[in-house]
Amino acid sequence: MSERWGDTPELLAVFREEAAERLSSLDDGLLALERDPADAEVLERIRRDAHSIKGSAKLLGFDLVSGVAHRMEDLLLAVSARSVQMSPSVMDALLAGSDTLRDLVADPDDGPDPAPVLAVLEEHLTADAAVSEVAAGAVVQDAGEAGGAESDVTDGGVPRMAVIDLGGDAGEPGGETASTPSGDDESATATGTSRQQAGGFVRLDAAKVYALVDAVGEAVVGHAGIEEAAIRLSALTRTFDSTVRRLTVENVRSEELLEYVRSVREELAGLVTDVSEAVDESRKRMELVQAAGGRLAMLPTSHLFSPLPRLVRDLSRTQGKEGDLEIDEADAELDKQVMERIAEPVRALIINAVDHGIESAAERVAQGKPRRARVILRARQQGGQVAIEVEDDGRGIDPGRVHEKAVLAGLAEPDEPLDRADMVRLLFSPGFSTATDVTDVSGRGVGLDIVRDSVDALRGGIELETAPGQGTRFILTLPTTMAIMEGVLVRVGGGLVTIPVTAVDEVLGVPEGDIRDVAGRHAIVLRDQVLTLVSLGEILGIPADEGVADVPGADTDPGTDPEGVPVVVLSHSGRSAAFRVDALSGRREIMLKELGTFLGHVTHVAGATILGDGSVVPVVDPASVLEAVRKVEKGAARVPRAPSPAGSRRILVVDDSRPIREMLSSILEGAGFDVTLASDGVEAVATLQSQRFDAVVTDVEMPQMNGLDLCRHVRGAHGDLPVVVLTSRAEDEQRREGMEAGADAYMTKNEFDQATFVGLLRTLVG
Amino acid sequence: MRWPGSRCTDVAVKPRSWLRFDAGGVAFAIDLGAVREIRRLPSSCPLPHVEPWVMGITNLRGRILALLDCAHALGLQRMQEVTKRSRMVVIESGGAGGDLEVGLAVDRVGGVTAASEVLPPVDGLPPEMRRLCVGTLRLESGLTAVLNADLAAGLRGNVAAPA
Repeated sequence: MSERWGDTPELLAVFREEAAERLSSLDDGLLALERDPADAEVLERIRRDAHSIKGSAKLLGFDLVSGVAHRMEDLLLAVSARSVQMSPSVMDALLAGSDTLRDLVADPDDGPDPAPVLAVLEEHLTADAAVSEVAAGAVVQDAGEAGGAESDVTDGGVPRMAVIDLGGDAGEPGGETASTPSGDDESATATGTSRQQAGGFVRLDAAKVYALVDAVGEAVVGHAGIEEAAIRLSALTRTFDSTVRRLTVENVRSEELLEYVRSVREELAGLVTDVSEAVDESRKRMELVQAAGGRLAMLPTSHLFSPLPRLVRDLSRTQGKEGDLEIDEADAELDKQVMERIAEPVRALIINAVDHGIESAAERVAQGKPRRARVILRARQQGGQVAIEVEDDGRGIDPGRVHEKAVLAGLAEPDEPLDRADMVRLLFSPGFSTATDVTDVSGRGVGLDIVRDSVDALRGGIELETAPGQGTRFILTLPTTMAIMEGVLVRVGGGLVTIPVTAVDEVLGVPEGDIRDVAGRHAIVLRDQVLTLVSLGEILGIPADEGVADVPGADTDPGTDPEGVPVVVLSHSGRSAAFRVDALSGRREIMLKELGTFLGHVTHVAGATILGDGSVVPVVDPASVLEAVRKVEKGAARVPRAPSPAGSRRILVVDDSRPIREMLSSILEGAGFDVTLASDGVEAVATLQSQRFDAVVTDVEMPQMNGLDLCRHVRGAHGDLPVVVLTSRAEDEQRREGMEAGADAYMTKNEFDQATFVGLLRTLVG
Repeated sequence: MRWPGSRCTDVAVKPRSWLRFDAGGVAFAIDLGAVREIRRLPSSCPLPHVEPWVMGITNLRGRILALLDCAHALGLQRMQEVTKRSRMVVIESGGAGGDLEVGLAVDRVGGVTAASEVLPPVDGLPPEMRRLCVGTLRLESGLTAVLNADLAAGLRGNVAAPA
């Protein structure tokens, strides 16, 4: 057997990439044709796609691939010559052909048997064999004419293609070599547009690219060493100055010595200036190198998205639904490694949107919605992150049902309503049945829990917006690159740890007096939010007095250390908490490294990094420590719940923030009150209608109906039922507004005091 | 003398090389083939929620390496103090899950000894040691416990304590 070109790994790689581009263009075109069968331009484009695959496969000796592509091209020719009518079954045959090609390209020798697909394609062709042959001939003829007399409509592509047409159809070994140069030309022309737009492609070995990215990252980190040297140098200059002053005063023995000392001082000064300038320059250069190096590994998100419209179309059809995928991407780019890890999760979300999100056509029509459902996939760049959104206009997620299921599964408490962060957590947990249904359509099954795992592994976040009856939107936020990131260095129990800056909301100093004791745990109020405050050292299990004896580079930077208790506020996937640390040590650019084969994964640790002085610092996994805080919160909330004594006073607590509701409910139940919760004014009004209460505690700013309106409603409908307004609005003017609305007491969250609050309510309810 | 799993019963062929070191007051030896390098004991950084004998992680030429308290990991007392003779012995074993590499903090490294006769382990070892000790060498310096050449893999299983 003679050797094939296709056995050369480089050529095979090039062929696969080219074929993948062509196949995705082919699929796009077929879907477009399904919407508009009369679009001749699209028809011609995809015929060229099939043709080009046929040509290169033949050249490389992949006869099965070229055979299928050949038959597809014939069928497309027949369609354009109108000898075969475009129909759903023709469309299915062509799509099946494209699928087979994709599998065969992946495995040209041991891929699927193309016989069934060839038979189907053949069936449509032989329906009118004679016409089909004529059509094929006609095109060749057309092409010949175009090359001769006519000025080209398709800018030179057609005549060259004719050459390939003949070579390819001849199918003889001799012809293959002859058609090589034209084949290359042709493919360059056909993809010319997309390549020019992308600024040209360079094929690079991913391993080499990452070697460069790593080297550059190291260099950036190594730069810290120069900076340290510069700092040492200026420190030396300062001690030199003071020594000289002392010598001048105490021990003036030799003019010569002094003269020498002065000259050294001058030299030092010059050196300091030089080093500082060098450091500045080096930093600028490093930034450029880093940016350029980082870009090598970045790919446009379209690489990720191109197979998805097809997926939505096929999946909808098999479920008797009608749906289209719209893609909206604004030049977003992702690191190749990030892209590879996110491909499956994005597919899973799309599959979920079709399976659980969109309704059948009949159901939609009955509800007055457009018959065809829309799934929208968006990617946009936000600083160092990319947000990928998967949105559908389907039935939405009913929080009540999720709650019910969660309670049944033992994942939630019956009396604790879910907030968005809870919903995300539940929907993406492996044991949750509504969301983890495995759809096994064409072997594409995958559960939603892998979405969460992959996103966590990338230190990204997931958010969810849903409106029953209107649709659902999942938002994934991902770092654009994995290797280099910014970290906030903090000292915990004598050692240092780094926190990825993407998870850090705020770094601040909290006066001891502002730390509140709320229902058995510490909390701080930050703007409108009550945040649980925990010690990062305790969560990490690093006691305050332990740790390594000397941690080089651990000195606290006084410039970044604010007054009060140093606190870092972290947030991830809609959950936030405040972490007390021992000291703040500033921001650094870091290279995230794995912990090595021996340790693998360690709880709460995403990896480690090496600082400029060579010391090692662990990188905290924000998702994991926030989850640990959630457990602490749950544990604390449960404790004080004593059974309410019979005849105890009933309080309605109204606030749109779940942590605040939870906190107030813990406090009041602890004090012996019976508490009911509502999340806004409208819900409160409804609850007041059906149940009797002894007092209402309400926030002011809430959706739908605010607290002041609720006050007025209570005054109108429930007489002198006591109302306590608890708000962050502390201005006198607002206080007066509250009292005028009929509030019995007005408390601000900033001055909140548990004892005063409970005392006030006891007084009001008698 | 024969016992299951030993590769060195065919004594006649050639003596093997062993690296000798002391940890927790006990003399140990490990097949030199499992040793990648020996370095001065580096500083390390502790990790949350790991076994107490995982001292932490350290920087080995730009890579992150786990550093274990060898004696403590073998059920002996914790390393008492870091001295000039303290060393890190980097060992590796090519387990099923790929190459495992780990640093062992030891009190001192004795040197390399060639010996062909490996006796069975002595009685009364702590359970951790019994699992990882495959024999005994009778050397001039005294009885020396022979560690499994796959020590890294042996210790790997129980690193992460529950959070």
